Amino acid sequence: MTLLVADTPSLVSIGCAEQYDPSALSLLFDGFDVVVPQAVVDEIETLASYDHDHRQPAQAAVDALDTARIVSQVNISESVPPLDLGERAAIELANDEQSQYLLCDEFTNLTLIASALDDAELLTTPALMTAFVDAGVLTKADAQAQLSEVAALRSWDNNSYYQRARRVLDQL
Amino acid sequence: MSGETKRVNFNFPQHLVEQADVLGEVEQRDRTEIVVTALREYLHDATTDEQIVQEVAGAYYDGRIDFEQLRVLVGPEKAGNFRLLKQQLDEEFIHDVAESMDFE
Repeated sequence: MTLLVADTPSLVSIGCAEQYDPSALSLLFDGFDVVVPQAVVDEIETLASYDHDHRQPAQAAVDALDTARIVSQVNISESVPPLDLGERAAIELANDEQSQYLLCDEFTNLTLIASALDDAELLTTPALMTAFVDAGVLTKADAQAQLSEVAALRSWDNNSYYQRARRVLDQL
Repeated sequence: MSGETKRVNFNFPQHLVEQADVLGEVEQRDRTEIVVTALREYLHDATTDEQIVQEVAGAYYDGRIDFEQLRVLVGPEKAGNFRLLKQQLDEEFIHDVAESMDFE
């Protein structure tokens, strides 16, 4: 299966639409070999334990991680840029594992993150949702509904990339 | 002023020109300096206003401006981020991601 390393915000974002059947969260873990560093698990568990807005989606992500491979020890090299610990660990793990994708929604740091990746390609949640529709495993209506939930959680309504993703999705 | 200059012709409302000239006399600056300062401040405000930056990014995603125009307006860092985001929605990239999934 295709290896995919996931970062904290993406997993929590996708977790907010777990009530759908199928959910993008379940499709992510069914369709890819998801690998995450322990630092990301720790961040998600912290959000699930106290953060009001993110508690439910973070808990959904924690539950889904039961089927993922967790890498407890990641030695982050100095060349990885000074981002959050979870992001840095995810970048390092994507390089160590030679994963195909790094699922990451840090829209404002993408150039920095991409420059630290050896071979892995960046993948954002809107692109992932669109790919699920392209693959025929999610209906357009379900993808639109779940992406709307993610946008509400992330306050993306005025983000032009999200708006563009919606138009691309509408035209599929 | 620094760098190369380019001669352009504009039609300004007369009262704005009169105001600029009066201010120029007070500050001992010429009309060009005042217009350049005003335009520079406007562009700085516009390109640091998140809503306007998002509109600029939207124009880039829609193909109404190219990457070089984007870079001039928002700077290399933001422009690089927007280019990566635009690539995320390329039909070929989406299809490649879809093809890489395995649901068996």
